[in-house]
Amino acid sequence: MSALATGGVEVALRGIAKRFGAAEVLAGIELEIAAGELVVLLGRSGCGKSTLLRIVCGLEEPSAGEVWIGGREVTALEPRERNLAMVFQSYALYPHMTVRDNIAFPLRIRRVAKAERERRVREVAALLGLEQLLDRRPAQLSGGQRQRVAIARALVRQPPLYLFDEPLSNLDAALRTRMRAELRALHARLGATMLYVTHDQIEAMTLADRIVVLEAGRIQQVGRPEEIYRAPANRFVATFVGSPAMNLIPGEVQGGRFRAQGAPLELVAGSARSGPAELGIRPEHVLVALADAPQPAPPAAPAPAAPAWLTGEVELSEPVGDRGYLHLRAGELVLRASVPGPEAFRYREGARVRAAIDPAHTHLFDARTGERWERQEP
Amino acid sequence: MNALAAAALATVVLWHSYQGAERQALEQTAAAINAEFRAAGHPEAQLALLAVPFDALHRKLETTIPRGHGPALFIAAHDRLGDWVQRGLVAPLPAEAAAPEERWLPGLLAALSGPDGRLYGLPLTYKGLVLYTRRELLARPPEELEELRRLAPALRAQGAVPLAYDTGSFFFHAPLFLACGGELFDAQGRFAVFEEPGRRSFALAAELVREGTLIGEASSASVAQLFQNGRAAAVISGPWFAGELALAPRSWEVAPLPRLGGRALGSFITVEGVLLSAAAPDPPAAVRAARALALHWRLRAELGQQPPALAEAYREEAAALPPLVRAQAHALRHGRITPSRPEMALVWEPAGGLLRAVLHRGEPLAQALGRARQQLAVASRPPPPAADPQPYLVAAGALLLLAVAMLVRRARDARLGTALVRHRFAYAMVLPALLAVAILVALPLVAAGALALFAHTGGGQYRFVGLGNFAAILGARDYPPGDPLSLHFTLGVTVLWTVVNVTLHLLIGGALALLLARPLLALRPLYRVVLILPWAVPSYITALVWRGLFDTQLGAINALLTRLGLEPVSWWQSFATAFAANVVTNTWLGFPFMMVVALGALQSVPQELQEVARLEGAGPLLRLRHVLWPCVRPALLPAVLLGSVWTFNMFNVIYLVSGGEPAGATEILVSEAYKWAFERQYRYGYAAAYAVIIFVLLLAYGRLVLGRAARTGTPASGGAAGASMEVGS
Repeated sequence: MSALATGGVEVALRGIAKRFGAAEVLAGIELEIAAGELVVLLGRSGCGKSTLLRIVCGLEEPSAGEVWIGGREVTALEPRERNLAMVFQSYALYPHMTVRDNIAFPLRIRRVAKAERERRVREVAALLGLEQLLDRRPAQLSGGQRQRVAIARALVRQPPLYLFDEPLSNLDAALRTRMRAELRALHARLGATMLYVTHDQIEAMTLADRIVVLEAGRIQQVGRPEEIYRAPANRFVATFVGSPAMNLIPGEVQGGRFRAQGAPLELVAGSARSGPAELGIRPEHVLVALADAPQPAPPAAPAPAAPAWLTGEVELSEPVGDRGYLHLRAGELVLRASVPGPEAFRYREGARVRAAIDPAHTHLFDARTGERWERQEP
Repeated sequence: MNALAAAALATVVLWHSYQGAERQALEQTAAAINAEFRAAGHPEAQLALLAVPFDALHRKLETTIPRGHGPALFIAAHDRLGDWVQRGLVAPLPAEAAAPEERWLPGLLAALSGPDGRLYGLPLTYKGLVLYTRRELLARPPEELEELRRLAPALRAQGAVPLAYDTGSFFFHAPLFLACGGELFDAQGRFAVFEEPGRRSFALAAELVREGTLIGEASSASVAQLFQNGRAAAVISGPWFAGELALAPRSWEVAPLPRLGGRALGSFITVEGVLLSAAAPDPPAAVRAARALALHWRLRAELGQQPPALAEAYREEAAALPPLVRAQAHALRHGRITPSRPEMALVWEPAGGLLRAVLHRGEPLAQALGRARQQLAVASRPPPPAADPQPYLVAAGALLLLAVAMLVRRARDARLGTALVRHRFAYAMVLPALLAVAILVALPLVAAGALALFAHTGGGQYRFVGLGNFAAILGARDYPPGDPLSLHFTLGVTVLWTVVNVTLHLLIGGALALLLARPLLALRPLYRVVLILPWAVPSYITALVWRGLFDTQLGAINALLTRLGLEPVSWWQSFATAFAANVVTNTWLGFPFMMVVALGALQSVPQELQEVARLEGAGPLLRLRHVLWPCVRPALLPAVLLGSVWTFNMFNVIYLVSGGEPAGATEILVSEAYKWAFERQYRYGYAAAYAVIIFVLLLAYGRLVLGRAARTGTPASGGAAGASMEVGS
């Protein structure tokens, strides 16, 4: 166990709402975070996720609701009384201080003795690989180095709760991937509670113990990444998480079968409800074959829910190497499909193809409310 | 030659600066003369008048006449005639122009004669001091000063000052000075103003103040206000005072000055004459016109209320002359025409200082006299001896050679050539500004530096004295260090003045900027405009307003203190209060600049920096010290440098608010330089040496501050250095 293991603290948000004048930014936020958990707030810009983070740390006051940290209500407390640290998207390093002074600043404010300060600065600097940079100023550092300094400054006080506000957005793609891994490792090592805001679903998927999807100031879904991906709670989560986005095919469920609107597509619905609905299928679950290729052998046991086949043509082909993305048109229907790498190069634009939709991978959403219809396996 | 050109040539142009009734009278007189001349077949002597503002008249004469332009005649007071004769701006009149001499009141022709004894103009009128009284306080004007002294207790009981005049000016003290038999110069031409018997007049004035007959501290403005409000029973002032009053005609009177111990009081007399320009195109015509103007006295006396210069005017119906004219005639009869010799200009400052010390501050007379004598001796000390210019020329030549050599070396550097070609558009764009800076900044700097090596010996004559002026100033042999008039003291006051002001500007401006930077503050734009207003008002107006607010008798500040039950403060009596008054005025003027700069700097500090500090536990004070201040310091540094330079040279406030009171103690270097240039015999070279010393001090200070900023390596200065390197490469 490292000396830096800080342990975590549970956080609870109860009925948080925030308005700026007439604009309602957050409403009815209920969230429980376990000690040591890494929770990612995921949403588009303007969805209220940063405001929620600022309410947790105390820079913003909620219009209603309570913030609890470590079993203590902190809603009315000053930020410094909440014992947490925050890393900003812009890093917010003090330009006039060296890296050493930047990292030591929280300790200096708390009147920690100089020797102790130096020891702890060295410790976090070693952890984040900043030993060689301690005498530089922020202007002399690269983006990734600044990010590490910002994290080091948050770590040095070893609070049990860390807040991250899009900390990786200003980094290039390669660096972002590396920092993601480092953050994950850091979380494992510290055991602290972390609340992490991002608009990047890859970050959310890779980092989070649990993801909170936020849209228009309301929580859309809370769950493990896998849950979010496999069982999106509504149309918004379904299309927001996953890239390329899930296909949604409008149609109607009648007698346990889904019939698409404007395309010759019919398959087992997997739901006992009936009425207008949208069928969701992720691009990687759309199976594609060239029209002149031999029909794949039917499954050995005749399944009650056989795949539905469609014939169409490739409108757009985007091979990216390890995968390829196809836009298929079948009548009025446009389907996005994702095929494994080398195969993608075979699908030229204009080629005739057949596509199969496996009912085992479909989702149904209410056409009116967008809510998920739970599957009921027959 | 056509008729129009003939008419143009035939006009004698006359410049004057009269206004109101005086101007009207002059215009009607000129019309009458022109009609006479036309009737008499002298169309070439037609007078054409041009009114020039009083402030501009002297300057315009001094620039146009040497170039052969300007008027043929001009009306001016006699006191600068000596200087004009020396510069050759005026031409002598033929002897017969004034004949017969007995027609003029005695002394007037002499006043318009040059040091060479020749006559340069004809007297038109003269101005002297008279007594103004309020009827409701004094049934009739007192004939004896004793009368006023007897009435004083009763008048004071009515809340009125028995007698008021500008007690800070020697000009208004002159009636007492002359009545005591005072002389300005002794038989050998040495200053006698502070010696017996004139010395007694200062003691007498002090006694009048002590017993409550005469107001102790009053300026021209406060005297007028006291009289207007019925709080002064009698006032001694000149004819211009009547024009400043807005009173019912029968509520006040004009009378001759009262007698003192049976002796009639006169005053200093200013003679106004029509002078012949050295550039007059047709001198005989001009002389004829001047003589006609001088002899036409009646309109000017009756309409313009100007006392005639001709003796016959008083022999005829003297009783019919306006009281203002008769009272001034009395002042002339018993007074003295102000000497026009150049040394006279040196008397005003020390004599005024003496009066303020004794009457305003109640200083012992002997002590004030000692200082006044010393001041007079310093101001009248001859300029440094002529120096041999040869070593200076050699040094200047060597410097020039060095500069040329450096230029040539740079020009041969191939990179400079390519840079010039590559960036020719940029250089072309910069050129106008470069030229403007060269003409408006570099040239005057060099000229002032050169001027500092000369001594102005009057009348536009200069003598090369080398570093003599600097030796005289820096040697500081006139006053011991620590004396308020010594260079050390003035320099110390200047530094204190700058430090105190800039600190206050920074504190107040910074605090207001912190308030204004809060985005949620209601009515923020309104506050911002209101707080910038003091900066938008011209500084001399602000200074004059504050001077009025600090006025001992009539100022709002003392009124407020009295209302609060506190003692009123005589602001100009001690160094601390006078200095404080100056600082208050200049802080009022200076904080908006710092506020604007600080506000801009604050708004450029990212919000997150403050937020992260807040999260880390820093309260407002710690955030200010560790986050905000370090972030705005680079932006504030140039503002502090500028503010220091401006304050170091803040002439307006010193000159207009304290005026250097008490006894020159609140003077700063630049106001001292001004006094040498314009109030002590036009010692331009000496003043230029002061300016060079100020420049060197400020240059050193600027290098020090900017050098420190570069060493601490603040991000802002690093960025600026990077930018300038890019431009240079």
